[in-house]
Amino acid sequence: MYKIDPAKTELAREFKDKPFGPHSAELQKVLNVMRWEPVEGKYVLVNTVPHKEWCLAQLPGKRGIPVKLHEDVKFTDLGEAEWYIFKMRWKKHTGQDLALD
Amino acid sequence: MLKLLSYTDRLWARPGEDVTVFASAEGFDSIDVELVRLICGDDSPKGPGYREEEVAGTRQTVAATFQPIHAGSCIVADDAAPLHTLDDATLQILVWPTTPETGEQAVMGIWDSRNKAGFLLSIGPEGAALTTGDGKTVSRVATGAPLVAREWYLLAASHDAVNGMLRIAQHPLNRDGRGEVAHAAVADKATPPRASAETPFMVGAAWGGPGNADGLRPVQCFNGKVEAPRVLRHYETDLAGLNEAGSVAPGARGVALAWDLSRAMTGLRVEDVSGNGRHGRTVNLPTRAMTGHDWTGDEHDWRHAPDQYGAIHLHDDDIGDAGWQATARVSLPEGLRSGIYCIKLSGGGHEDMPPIVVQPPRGGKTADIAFLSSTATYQTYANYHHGMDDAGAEMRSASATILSPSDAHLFEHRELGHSPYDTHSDLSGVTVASARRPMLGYRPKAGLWSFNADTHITAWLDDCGFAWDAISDHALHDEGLALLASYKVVVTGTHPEYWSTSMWQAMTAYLDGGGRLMYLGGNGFYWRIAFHPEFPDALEVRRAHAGARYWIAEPGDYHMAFSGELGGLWQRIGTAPQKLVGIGTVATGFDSCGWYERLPDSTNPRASWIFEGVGEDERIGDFGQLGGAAGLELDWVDRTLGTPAHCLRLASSTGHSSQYLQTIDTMTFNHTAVAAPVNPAVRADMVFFETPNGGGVWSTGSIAWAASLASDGYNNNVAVITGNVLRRFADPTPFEQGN
Ligand SMILES: [Fe+2]
Repeated sequence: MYKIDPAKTELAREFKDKPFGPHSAELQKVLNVMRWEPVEGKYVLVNTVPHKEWCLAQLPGKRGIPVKLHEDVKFTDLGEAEWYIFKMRWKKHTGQDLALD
Repeated sequence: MLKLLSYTDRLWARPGEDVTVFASAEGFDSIDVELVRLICGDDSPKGPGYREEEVAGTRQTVAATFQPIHAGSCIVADDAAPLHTLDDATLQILVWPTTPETGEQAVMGIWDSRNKAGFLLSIGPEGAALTTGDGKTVSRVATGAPLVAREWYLLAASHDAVNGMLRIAQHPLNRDGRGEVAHAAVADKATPPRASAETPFMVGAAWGGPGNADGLRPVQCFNGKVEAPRVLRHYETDLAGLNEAGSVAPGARGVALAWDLSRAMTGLRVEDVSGNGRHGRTVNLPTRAMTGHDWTGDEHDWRHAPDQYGAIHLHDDDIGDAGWQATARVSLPEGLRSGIYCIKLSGGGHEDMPPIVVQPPRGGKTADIAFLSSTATYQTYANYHHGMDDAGAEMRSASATILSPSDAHLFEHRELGHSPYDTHSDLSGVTVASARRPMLGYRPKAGLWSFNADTHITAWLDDCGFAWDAISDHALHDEGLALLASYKVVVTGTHPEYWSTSMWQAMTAYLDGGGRLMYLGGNGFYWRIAFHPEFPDALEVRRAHAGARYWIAEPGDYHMAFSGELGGLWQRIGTAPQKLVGIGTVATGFDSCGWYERLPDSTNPRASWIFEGVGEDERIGDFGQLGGAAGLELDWVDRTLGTPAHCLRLASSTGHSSQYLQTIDTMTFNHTAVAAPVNPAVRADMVFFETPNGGGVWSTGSIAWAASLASDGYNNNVAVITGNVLRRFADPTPFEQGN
């Protein structure tokens, strides 16, 4: 199974510059590994103001209960939201904060 | 999350007719209601702009209240009174539980859950159990052995009034060495069962009092299959002796009730074969015609071996008719112009807009052009949870999952029911979609898909001054060829995916009679559906054989209960979409879109008129709201699947990202080159061919096509080409049959 290498920050840079692709083959591997997260706890975006504002949220592991909203994390740009989720997942997979200069 | 929900008694109507609105308001008590003509439902800032027009004189204010939905399917006896007076009784039933680990689930009995009164055979963490209650005290006996999911069991429970004996037994029917053993238990001095007279006899749920599900509220719902429920009029000490359902002959003495669920399977009724006439009805549309405990695998069509299909699959999140009180009646004015309308409800700062297709008056078309609104497809997509319930959804969208407030509401409020793209709470597939419930997503201002995406086509028709009528899938199913026959041309939506046999036959007959069809979409004419013969607001899909299935039908469950027909892909019935429209599904991708390039056939005099005003080397649709006109779901020609031999392949798409993959049903095995840009099959083919009697078909093969129409104020080659075809197709001059 592919492991995300925390040293390959150039892949993070590529994602930051172009969150919606197309991506290089190696970045696509990183994204696919990240996107295989189970439903429980998966980061999603709830559109709180139509076409204008998105709130970070997590899916609960159980049906029939509210999606967990992170009201303090809102975005007005979907690319920024993608980048935020990417950084959280980077940390989860590599154990390291993603620091780009 | 959402405070105003609604549905209507119909999805289409004609001028002069009434539409009844059922609404639920949470936190406010009145709703403004008005009829609006929907010009464009897309409110995205990237789109052509949201537009609606109020229909003068239709505004009213009505009282509203909160109305709950009581989901969960079950079977209810018409009249439980004779069973209430049974002193000694034995219950037996076959079950195939799917969630035996999730808590106490009612299997059968007369059980008032609010007062803890009556008798109930249930399953739960303690295995099968029999509970009796008189409203004050409760007695219970359980086997102590939890059932194993997805295995058949005979459950039996018996009560003796004189000595207060309770017996329970669970008997696995699969004795194949996996160690499942029978369990039984007995207790005495039990509380006598004493339920109030209104408590019904139910299978698959207990009675939670009056409610909206056919007058009652099902609670403690059972997940799984049930078969052959029976009530005997005596206390039985040898429950193991009942070890097969067949051991009690229907009509035998001492049998108070015996439901044969393999009878009348297309309908809502359940027949008692005990001779006592104690029939019942299904509530909330459980899945019928499911393989029973004795299915041999030799016969896959339940019509040929109904006795092997005696099971009903009950789900705690099934929903048929939400059963709300009517909130408003909206009269469609005489002379109302045909089109796509919404009933706009507003109250408490909230809004809901259930759509209505307003067709022309019966037998009186008002234009030569008909737009066929894909109401069956919209209904099938309603209350879609796949993006929230499936871990692979983000891979499919190639971006983080975005939930609208409606999606977030659906995640929490499972009582709204699911779509046939989803699984039930027990992870079995959803086969039924009812329109008698709020259908979130089947609304304007929703994502650009299905209903909302199709308003790009109707807005274009309006803005370019075409006279057109709106017609619907549901009317096409009901009225057949007569609905189409007088139109010169029928225009589809972006994604006309779900077709009943009646719809398919009508379209085929229309084309055979010289009709013209513009297929402005992708992944069309794909799944076969059936409408319920007694409750036509519900349709059924079986994800059989192959296709982008989302869930996979169990072996033996490929035939639809509503009609008996083989479900699944139209291709598997021998009539692939290629036979009807020249092309059929080949690829999907959701991150970006490509464009078309013209092919030599586009200069053939039979078709060159389509490209008048478009340069030979011009890219077609390398622009648009989605970035290109070729995208999302793509169709291609396939002679072996029935593309007419004289079909002209006019243009083909390219520019697809590596997120575009060939669909599963068109491949015989998987490999690493199934994606664009290295798989030549990942493309949309634009085609034209003539049909008998002067008709013709033009197909784009891309869901994204219509999202490029409005670019640059409709001054673009997608709009030019679509307009060229529409004007020619509306011209009665016959096409010569091509060679
Ligand atoms: Fe679809």
